[in-house]
Amino acid sequence: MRWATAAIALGVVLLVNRNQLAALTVGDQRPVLVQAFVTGVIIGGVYSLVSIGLTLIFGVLHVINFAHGAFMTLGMYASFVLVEHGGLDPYATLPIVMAVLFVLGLGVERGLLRRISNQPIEANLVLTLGLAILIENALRLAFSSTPRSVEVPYASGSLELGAFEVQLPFRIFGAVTTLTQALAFAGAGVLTGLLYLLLHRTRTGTAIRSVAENPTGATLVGIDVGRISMLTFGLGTACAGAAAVLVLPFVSLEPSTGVSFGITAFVVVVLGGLGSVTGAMIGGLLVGLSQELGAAVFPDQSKLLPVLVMFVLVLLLRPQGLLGKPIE
Amino acid sequence: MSKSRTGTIRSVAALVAFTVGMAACGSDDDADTASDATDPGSSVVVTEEPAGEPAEEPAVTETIKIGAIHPLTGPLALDGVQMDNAAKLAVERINAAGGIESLGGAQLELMSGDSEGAPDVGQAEAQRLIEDGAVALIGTFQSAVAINIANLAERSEIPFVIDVGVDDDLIKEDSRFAFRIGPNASAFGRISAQYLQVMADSAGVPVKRVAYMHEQTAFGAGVYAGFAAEAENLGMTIVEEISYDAFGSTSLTTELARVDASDADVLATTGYYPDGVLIARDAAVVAPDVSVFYGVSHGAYAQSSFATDAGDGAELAFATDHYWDTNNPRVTEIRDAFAEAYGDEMRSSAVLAYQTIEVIADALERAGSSERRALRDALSETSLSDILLAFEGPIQFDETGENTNATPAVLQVQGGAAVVVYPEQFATAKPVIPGVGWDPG
Repeated sequence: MRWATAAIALGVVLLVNRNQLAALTVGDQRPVLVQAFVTGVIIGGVYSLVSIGLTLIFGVLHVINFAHGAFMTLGMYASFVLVEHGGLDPYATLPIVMAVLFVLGLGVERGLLRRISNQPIEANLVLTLGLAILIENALRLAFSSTPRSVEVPYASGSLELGAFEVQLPFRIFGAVTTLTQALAFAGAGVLTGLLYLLLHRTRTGTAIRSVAENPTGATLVGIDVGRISMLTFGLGTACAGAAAVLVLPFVSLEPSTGVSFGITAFVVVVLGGLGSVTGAMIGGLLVGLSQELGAAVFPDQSKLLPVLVMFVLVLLLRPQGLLGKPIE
Repeated sequence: MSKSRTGTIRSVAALVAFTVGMAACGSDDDADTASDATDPGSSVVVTEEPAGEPAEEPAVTETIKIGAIHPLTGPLALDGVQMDNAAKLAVERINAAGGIESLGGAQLELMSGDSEGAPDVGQAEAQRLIEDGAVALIGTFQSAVAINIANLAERSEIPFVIDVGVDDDLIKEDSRFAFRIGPNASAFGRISAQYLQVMADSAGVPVKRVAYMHEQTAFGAGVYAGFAAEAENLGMTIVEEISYDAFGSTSLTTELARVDASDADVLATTGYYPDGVLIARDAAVVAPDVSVFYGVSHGAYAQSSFATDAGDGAELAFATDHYWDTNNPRVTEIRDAFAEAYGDEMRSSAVLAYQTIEVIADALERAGSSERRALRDALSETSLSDILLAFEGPIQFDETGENTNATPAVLQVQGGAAVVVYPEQFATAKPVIPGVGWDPG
């Protein structure tokens, strides 16, 4: 029944736009689809990284962190300050910003969230929402609303990689991508891989997964649940910090820049299954792709429309998300 | 203690009553003045001096209050605060030059309201300013806020002069109290299409096919509609219309690939700052095969930070925008005074706010009254030719309240800075056409 509804919905959408679709598959329109695909994968990679932090926090702490986007904005401003006033390369700020946000995350968990951990879920919703508003307005006070941006001096022209010389921007099957976007995707991929190894190949990772699975059981085998919660929140915000540094070179920065990433991250996390890291990775790519392919097929619509259509379809078929566990 | 305090209050009250009487007698006619004088914000200063002292003062001059509603906090605060400061500066300079002469040198006073960028807050602030005795309102930078205030102004019968706000619907067929200094969205679109045609014709460049990217709200859609209608009249074809989310987009390469595939001569855009930067940056990467990059009603491309933020893609970008008259020495003087007073470069939105105060002062002068309806009638008969903006004629309002001579200027980024290139009487450089900041093809 659900599958039938989804198939009909998809059919209607495609039928409405069949002329657009037909036009896109022939001749000189094909680069549009290739471009949409390339951009979709790259943006999707960044969404994945932002969302992994969010899903990790939910999986372990059962906290819906509305401040995630604000943490990301904070990371962007930290990177911006280091570049503008510290003279650092934008990418050299990555470890510093991650460390700063990691420590901030530890502090927020220990100082704020821990205090209300036995309260109903609304308490942490309101707390993190309040934190988001606080961060955004503090940034506005400190930096005003003037849009800022950082420059990557070597992002145009050509790049020498040992014996190879690569022309920028990159050309892939008729599509183009900038060095900064390619680096964001590569960086997101590497960090996601490292996080996966941390979760699956280390004792701490095993502890994090056990707390997510069953906090009581974890306590019984001697895991310090408080410490793990704190660590996880720190890791989650550090992911937001990493994503912040990676996207900063291609966005204009304002105190509300992180908000739209935060919202997208919620869609990704629910789509992938709340608490599932692999789900967030796949969800990020799916959202990125449907957003860009949607923009190629429906130029007169918001990019969010295809994302939300896909979102509704997935939830219709799998209410627990792609890789989420059904609630029994 | 309590006894002496009561005594003081009593004497202050007596003093207030006395000065109110003075004010009412001293001024010419209307009831508004008396209510002004009882207001704590008015010019009458109540001090604990012995009775009899005020009698020695000259006749109390009237204070005329103007309410200004702009986004003083929130994401649009940068422009909002500039506009509020510009209005304050205008008031100060008019007062210093002798105030409103026909009202015995009456002084102006600006009361500021913060819309926070939200329509309901803006409306509440407007209501407060009306109750505090404002005789006119100005604002608001955002159409969504202005539309609420326009309705309120109509009901309250108070003149509302729009400094920045382009939505056509702000002024309706039967509007009596709303006035707009700058062009509305459809005029922006229409005139921008005409200017494009003229500039391209004189350079011998064909502009037949236009791909248009606009942000998806009423602003982008309204300007696009005006442009598209006129472009069709002029024999151009809109080959691609792409709308996008101005504040949630991180990449517009897919959209620009569509532009490239559409075989357009012109890439036209309407939007805000972050998306303006994004389009220019992504255009430099995708390198669509167009010969003109044309921002319509686009504030971003005229901003001094644009060329730095957007890099190569910014060069040779055109933008039509309401802009100050660069050849008018009075504008230079005002912008210098602004920079000195507020330590900030005065934007075109702030020049419009300044102009708005001058328009109201001119109407007060002619009305010889600070009564709201009299002011409205005087405003509707405005014909102000010494203006700060690059308009093709004096400021004159039609029967609905639109300025019939409001025209945008065309700017182009040349060598990393925006210069006025059209209309010729305001131009400081010649338009470079064809040409874009990337290597098309």
